[in-house]
Amino acid sequence: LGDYVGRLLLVEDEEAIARMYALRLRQDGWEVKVATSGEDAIATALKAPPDVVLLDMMLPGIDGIGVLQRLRENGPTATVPVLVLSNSPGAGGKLDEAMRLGVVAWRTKATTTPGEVSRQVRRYLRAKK
Amino acid sequence: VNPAYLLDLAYDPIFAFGLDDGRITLWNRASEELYGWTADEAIGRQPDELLNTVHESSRDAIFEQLFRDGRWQGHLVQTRRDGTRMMVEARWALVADDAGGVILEINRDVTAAHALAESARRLDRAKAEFIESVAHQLRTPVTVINGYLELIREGRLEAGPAQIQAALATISRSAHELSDLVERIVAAARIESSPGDVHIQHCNFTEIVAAAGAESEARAPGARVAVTAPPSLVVAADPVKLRAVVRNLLATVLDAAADGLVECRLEANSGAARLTIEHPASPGGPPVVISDVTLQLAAHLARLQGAELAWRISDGSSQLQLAVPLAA
Repeated sequence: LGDYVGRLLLVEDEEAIARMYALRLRQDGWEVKVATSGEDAIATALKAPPDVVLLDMMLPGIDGIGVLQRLRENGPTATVPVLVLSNSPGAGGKLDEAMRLGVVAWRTKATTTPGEVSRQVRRYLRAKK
Repeated sequence: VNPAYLLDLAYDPIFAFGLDDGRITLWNRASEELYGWTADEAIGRQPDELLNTVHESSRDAIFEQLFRDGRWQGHLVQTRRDGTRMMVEARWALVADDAGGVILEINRDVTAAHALAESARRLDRAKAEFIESVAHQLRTPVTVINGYLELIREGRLEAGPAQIQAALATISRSAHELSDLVERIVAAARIESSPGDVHIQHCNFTEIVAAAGAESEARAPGARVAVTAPPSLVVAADPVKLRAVVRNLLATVLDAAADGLVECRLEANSGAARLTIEHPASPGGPPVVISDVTLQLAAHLARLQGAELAWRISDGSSQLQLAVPLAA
């Protein structure tokens, strides 16, 4: 395992994708919590705000935008960096709305890999310090 | 030659109304034909009141342009004498005279063209939503394949065969899912590109459901399709394509039903034969997983022959309902 990097909240309802991301991110030294629904994501983030949230957009129950709004409304999570990991095309105004709510980036899961995401988040946190 | 006679020769409805009192002073033959009011009945009335006109922009804006440019062009919704509504493309011209001036209105009925354009817009929106949904469904297995290949390539899996085998099995499942989705999309595209191949005729829906059920049972060992239907229910559809739609729906629900039991109920209701395909909820059973794209494709194929598909999927159960028009 790599050296400890930070705490990630991975919000992903596709089991195979969540398992794969969690495996790789933990190997890279991240402490990973997985939430499989919008409600689960909000509760987990409020209980223990992570360093970064990796957020899917299409979720059962509250969708990604709803999660973002709730995170932004609550003091402890209002400024937590959120990186969107979605296979939705971002049409229908969701991309604009997510950007308005201050997401760090919008990545299409099919055109990236867990390793690339791990490196991008690590670079982002390093630059932020 | 009397100018009014010349206007009667025009194919387009033309009428004029006074600028001061707004009352109709001229009403040609084509106006009589389009609106159903004779010249005697129309002259002296105000066009907005006679035709129940709805303007696309405010009257003030129309008159502002009319006084500025001498012309206005736009769309109006008007009502014929028999109460039918229509959309017209209207061109107005301001004609000044000693009595204060008149407005000449020349209209063209564009109701059919407007409906066609609106239908094309709706179709475009539906296609865009469909493509978005298909893209999302296709990207999910691609994500899994890319991610696990990266884990294997970078030696991130444990050296023992168990983890590698599990990863390969996941990749293989995702690849099959991908190719299955592609095949379904290609099949849908093939049917859509040859709509002439749809042969609507009277056919017995009960027999079609029974045949599709028996076929599905034969294809999936252990599957049971319980059919409740009247002896005969005649619908207007393409029997070959309807059977394919029912077969696909049964296969979809059977795939998702862990216990292999599917119930089909066929009944006539409100001018349609309604086939309900249901996997009953089993308490504590595994969640039902049916991809959106599968259902959207089935709905698309159903629509090609005038049928409608609706569905309700919850964690423990699934219910699809196919409505096919009854034979007249």
